[in-house]
This record gives sequence, C-alpha cells and structure tokens, in this order.
Amino acid sequence: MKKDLVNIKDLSNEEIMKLFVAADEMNHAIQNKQKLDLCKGKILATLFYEASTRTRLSFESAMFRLGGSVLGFSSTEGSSVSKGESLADTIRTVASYSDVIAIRHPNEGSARVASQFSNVPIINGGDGGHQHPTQTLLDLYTILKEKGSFANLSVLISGDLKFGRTTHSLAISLARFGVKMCFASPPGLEMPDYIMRTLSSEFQVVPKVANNIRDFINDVDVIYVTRVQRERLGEMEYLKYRDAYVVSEEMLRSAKKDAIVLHPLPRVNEIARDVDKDPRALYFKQAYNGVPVRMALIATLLGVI
Amino acid sequence: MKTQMLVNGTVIDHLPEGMGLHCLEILKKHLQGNETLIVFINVPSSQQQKKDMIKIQDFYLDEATSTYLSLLAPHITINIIKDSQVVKKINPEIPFEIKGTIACVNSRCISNTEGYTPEYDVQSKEPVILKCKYCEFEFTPG
Repeated sequence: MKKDLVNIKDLSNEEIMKLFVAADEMNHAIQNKQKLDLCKGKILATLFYEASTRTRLSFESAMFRLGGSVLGFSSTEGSSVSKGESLADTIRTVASYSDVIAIRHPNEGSARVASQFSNVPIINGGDGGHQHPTQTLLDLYTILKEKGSFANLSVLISGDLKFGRTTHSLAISLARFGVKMCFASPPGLEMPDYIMRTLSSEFQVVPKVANNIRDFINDVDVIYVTRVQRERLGEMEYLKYRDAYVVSEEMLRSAKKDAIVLHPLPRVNEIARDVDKDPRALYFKQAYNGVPVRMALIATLLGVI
Repeated sequence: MKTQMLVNGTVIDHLPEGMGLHCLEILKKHLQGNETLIVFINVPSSQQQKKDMIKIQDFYLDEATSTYLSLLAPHITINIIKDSQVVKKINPEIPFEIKGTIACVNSRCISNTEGYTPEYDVQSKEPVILKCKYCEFEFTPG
C-alpha cells in the first residue's frame, strides 16, 4: 500500500526518528561526495502551484542525489492548470508519469485531495496556510542535531502563526515529542484555535502566549522565527504587520549562549541582517538539512531503504 | 393557538427559539415553492420554555437534510405525517462523521475552490463543532 506524507500526523514518532537515522546516512553520503543510485530509474514529479525556492530545489536536489530523475512545473503558467484543469485530473495524469509526487498548492487540504486521486506517494510541500510537513521534518532534524535531544527543551515559535503553515505542523510535532513551547505573534496573527485545541486535547499542552518576542526570548533553547505571510493577507494588512517584530542582535545579547535561531526562510526583515554572523543563527544550515531529510523521505516512501 | 391540522407532510419540532425562520431559509432550496407551510415562533414548551416549529404540507424531509438541521439544532424532532397520523418520528442523531450536506466555512479550503465533497469529523456534539477533513478548520455550523 502506498504511503503519503500529507499531514505530519501521517508519521509516528518512531517513523520520524527512523527517517532521521536515514537522513544522517544521506548527509554522510553528500559530505563524502558518494554517488547514490537508490532511486535509479525512478521519477519525482514536483508540482508547484505556488512560488518556492528551497522546498522545490531541495526536493529536486534530493532526487538527483539519490540517482533519480525529476519532472514538473514551478508555476501554473505553461501547464494545463492555466486552462482550468482540476487538481484531481492533473494528479491522475502526473501519477502515471512518475513514481512519487511533491506538491505545493495555495488551497488548504489540496495535498489530501491529491493523495485520494494518486496511485503513487504524495508529499505535501505546503498546502495554503495549513501544513508543511517536510519543513517540519527538517526543523525537527535541525533541532535534534544541534541540541542532541528533545528532552527538557523549550522552543519559542514566533511571527505569523495564523498563516505560517510551518508553525502549525511544528507545534503539533513538538508537542508529540514532549517539548515545552511558547508562542509570540502580533495581535491578529495568533496560532489558530484548532491548533491550540489539538495541543490541549490530544497532548495536554497549553503553551504560554504573548504578543512580544521579548517576553520569551531570554528563556528558550530554540528561537523559531517566521515571516508575515504577505501572500495570504491583503496589502493593507501586510503593511500593518510588516515591521511588527524584528529579531536583532541587540535582542539576542540577553538570549541563552547556546540558544539557536531558526527560520524556515525566505526571510524578509523579521531577522535583522546583523544576526547572520551570530553563531547561533542556523537558518542556512537548517535549509541545507532539507536535502538529506527529503532524500530519506523520498527513499522511504519509494521503499528503496 | 389553533392551527390547521396537517394531513400529509412534515412537522419539524423543538427548534430553538429564533431558529424557525433560519431553518426555513435552509429548507427553501428543497421545497418546490408551492407547498403550504406554517412557521410557529415562540411556542410555549415544557422542555424548552419557548420553541419554534415548522409544519409543511405534502413535503417529506430526507435524511441528509434532517442531519443538517440537527447540526444547527441538536434536539429537533421530525414527525412524518400521513393521513393525519404520525407514521415516523425522527430524532436525528448527529453522526461522528459527516459527508456533504454543509460547505466548509474556510474559503481557502480545496473543497470550496474545486468542489470536492466536504467531509467532517464531529469534534463535539454540544455545542456542535465540525473539523474539516481537508483543511482541518473547526467551526460550528450556523
């Protein structure tokens, strides 16, 4: 039976940890310039209905590094989607051309629809403001690699928590691993009620919340920052929130010496450029981790490891 | 208050006070437009103090619409009348899962934009909270 990754809940904690062991091996192969042929003869389709740099390119890099091939589109222009083709029809067709599909789509729940119409594994590369489970995997992987364990960690998730899909899947999975969390967001961009309810009803987790990052930044081990999701806000609303929060070097002076700063990227102005040279700023390393993690995921879903 | 006896049709009883006209709005798309109907508002009730009620001549409510109405008013009773006798009394049970019937309130949900049949898990029956199986948005129908 095919296995999809539509929602981070599709993977158990054990499956996630197993993926991370595989990601370590993939990372080792990349670092040692080993040529892998685990996916030789296999094709990954990348269907990106929305803009992407890291997610799409790291999926493609992952498949090439596994010895496989890639086809797909990076915008709907030039595909039959622009002629009005339904998602279901596109998926049915592309599934017959490929062995695994990674999809990013502006509508929430689109990856679930794709999984219903596909006979090959579907990987959700972001569905509207809903979820971005592969980003969560690489976030968790980065935290684990840098901190050694999830035990006794406290994580600040900050920024646009309403539309920042990476924060939704991250909060759920951190709760599953028993990590203490706090949330900071401007008024109006708080974590959705359904996520808060899931955290309390399924995991008995009630994170502290505030409107200012400064309320928590000195006490946490991980500072996770997200940008304002301009594409899901009107222009006036975006302007209202654009400069609502900025993590600066000055703010980090009083943060823990061994804290780490993560960001799913792209960064706009919510992390000041002067933070980049701080050794605690790990967001580019985090972005690199997307390749070995996605290699492990693709190989797992294709059943070649 | 005396009203005309229903010979054949449906009585939707135990609607919460103020729900009668809202319920009628929902039923409109299921009606032919030529049925005789009466909406009772603020009817004294031993169970609810005040209730609303709808009687519709020559119209029989289907199961899907009964379920939908029960999401809005969990305690409704539906009586099917034939030859002036109650031949069926329905106390619609809110199921654990719902397919179709009601649109997701999240306008960005794929079930709205591409017309896939909406599906929900019922998170709570009182108050009714539905969780969309596509976008996971939670809401109370109304």
